Amino acid sequence: MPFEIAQVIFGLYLLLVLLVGVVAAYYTEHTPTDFYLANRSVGTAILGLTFVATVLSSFTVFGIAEMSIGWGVGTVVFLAIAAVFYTLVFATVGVTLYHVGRERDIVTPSEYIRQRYDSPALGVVYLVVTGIFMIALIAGQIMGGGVALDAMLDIPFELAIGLMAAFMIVYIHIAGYRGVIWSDTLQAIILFGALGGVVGWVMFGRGGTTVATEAAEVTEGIFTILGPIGVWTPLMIMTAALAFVFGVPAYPHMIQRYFSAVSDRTLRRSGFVFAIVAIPIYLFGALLGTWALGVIPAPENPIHVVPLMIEALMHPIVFGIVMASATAAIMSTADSVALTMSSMVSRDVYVTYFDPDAGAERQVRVTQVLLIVVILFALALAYVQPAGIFGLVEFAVVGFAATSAPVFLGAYWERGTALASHASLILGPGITILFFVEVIPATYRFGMHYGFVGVLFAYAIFVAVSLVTPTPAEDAVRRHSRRFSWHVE
Amino acid sequence: MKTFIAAASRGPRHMSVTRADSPWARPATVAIAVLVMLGIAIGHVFLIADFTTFYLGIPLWLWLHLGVVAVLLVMAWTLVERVLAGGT
Repeated sequence: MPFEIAQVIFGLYLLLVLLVGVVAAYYTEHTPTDFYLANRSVGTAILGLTFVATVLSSFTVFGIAEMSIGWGVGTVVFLAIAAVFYTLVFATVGVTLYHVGRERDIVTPSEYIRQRYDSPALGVVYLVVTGIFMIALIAGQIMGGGVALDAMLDIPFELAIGLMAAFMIVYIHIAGYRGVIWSDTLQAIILFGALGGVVGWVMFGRGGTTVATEAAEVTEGIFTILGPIGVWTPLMIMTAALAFVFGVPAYPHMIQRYFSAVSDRTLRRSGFVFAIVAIPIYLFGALLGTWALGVIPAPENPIHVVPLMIEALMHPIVFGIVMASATAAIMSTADSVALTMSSMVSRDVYVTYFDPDAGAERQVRVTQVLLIVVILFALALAYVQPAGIFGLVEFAVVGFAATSAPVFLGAYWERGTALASHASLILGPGITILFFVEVIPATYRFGMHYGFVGVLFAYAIFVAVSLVTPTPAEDAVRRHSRRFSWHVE
Repeated sequence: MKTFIAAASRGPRHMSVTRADSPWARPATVAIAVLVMLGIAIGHVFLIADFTTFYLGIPLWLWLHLGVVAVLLVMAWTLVERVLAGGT
């Protein structure tokens, strides 16, 4: 009986999210600006909460817990530090891209790259390279959703991820960006409330110190900053944080959200909405993961520990709400990434190279078809399970960080060139990938996070090559970058 | 120094920059502020590591870390609203 109650709650919540998407779809126009950016009309609260729901996902509910069990509750430290510095990136690069996007009617990040460097080929390179990491990110979300359905409904993982993919294809197809951000708002609030409620209950209802003490007896050092195996040294914390500071704001789907803000003030303040909501959620994930050892000392699969703990301690209704909110957050990330990737392919490949006269309606239709292709690619990767959820999402984040130089520096540095961007986009992520698959041994990162090493290479290559190669047309540079100083009247 | 910071902080209310103000005032102020924040972000980790007593199931060092994060957010807010808001 308790299992059936949780199923009902889970199903009802998903229907609610779908209903939000259907209502939003009713207001959505089939023009690129509206379908991709909700007509650049998004306000502070919704923009901040869509940042939250887009960034926080399977990584938050399952991945952080998985890592906290192995590397300790200190996992949360670099995440919280990174979230503080995201606000600065939003307020600088984000606002600059907002202004340029509005002035130049730019809808996708690859479109910005193409115009800034006056190079259609570079736009495609950016799309292909970021596409690798976008597929990895979507696959990580699908895997997380499969975990939830496996734990909730006892559906085999392979079948569960197939169902998740099918649901997302329907949901994204009808909703567009407005549906995505409206459902993101609901999901962020529910995720915060559900996880916060469970943490609060453990702290005050079960005796948090008792649970933590029992967990500490299972794994020595799990509640220290350094962690049980000494991962979180100060150098690792800062380089991981910096890799994420370059990575998360450089997500193509985050860049697309900069374009959608109603004003620069909205964008600046939404960064703080994100930090205020996301940092506690990161904390909730890390705490639940480590506390879970006091309830489930030897989890068969660390990915499952949060749902198993909640199922063991909480009422089935609460279990259903938490699992539904976690799954919805997963889909909110996946649909944002899928929508951005398909819009980039539609606008910067199909329209640019195959059908320059394509009308707005056709562009959107092509995007809707590409959504299916993108999700199926990610589904294939999820079946293979090349890494754990945290590993896959972490790889995506730091991969995006290694693609950020042409965007972040190009927004301010007039000397940035197309050739430098090509080199940076290929070699920076290339280094990152070689570390991830361990072709380059870990010893060569000298105690730093491998993603930060990729960032260093990407930026060094961009600067060095820019200095010895010709700049794009002055017009392209002037229209797509801003000086980082006061304007003189 | 006071003139330097005053010029860099004038942005939200005054879009103009006098001939006496350096165009590097804003970037330098932002750079200094970010370096200070980075210093706090990494420095506090060395200072809080030994506080391992649990309060409500959370080690004291983590409570202190959250406090430092709150301070960093206030600093970020000040930097964004007082220095960055006026110059894009």
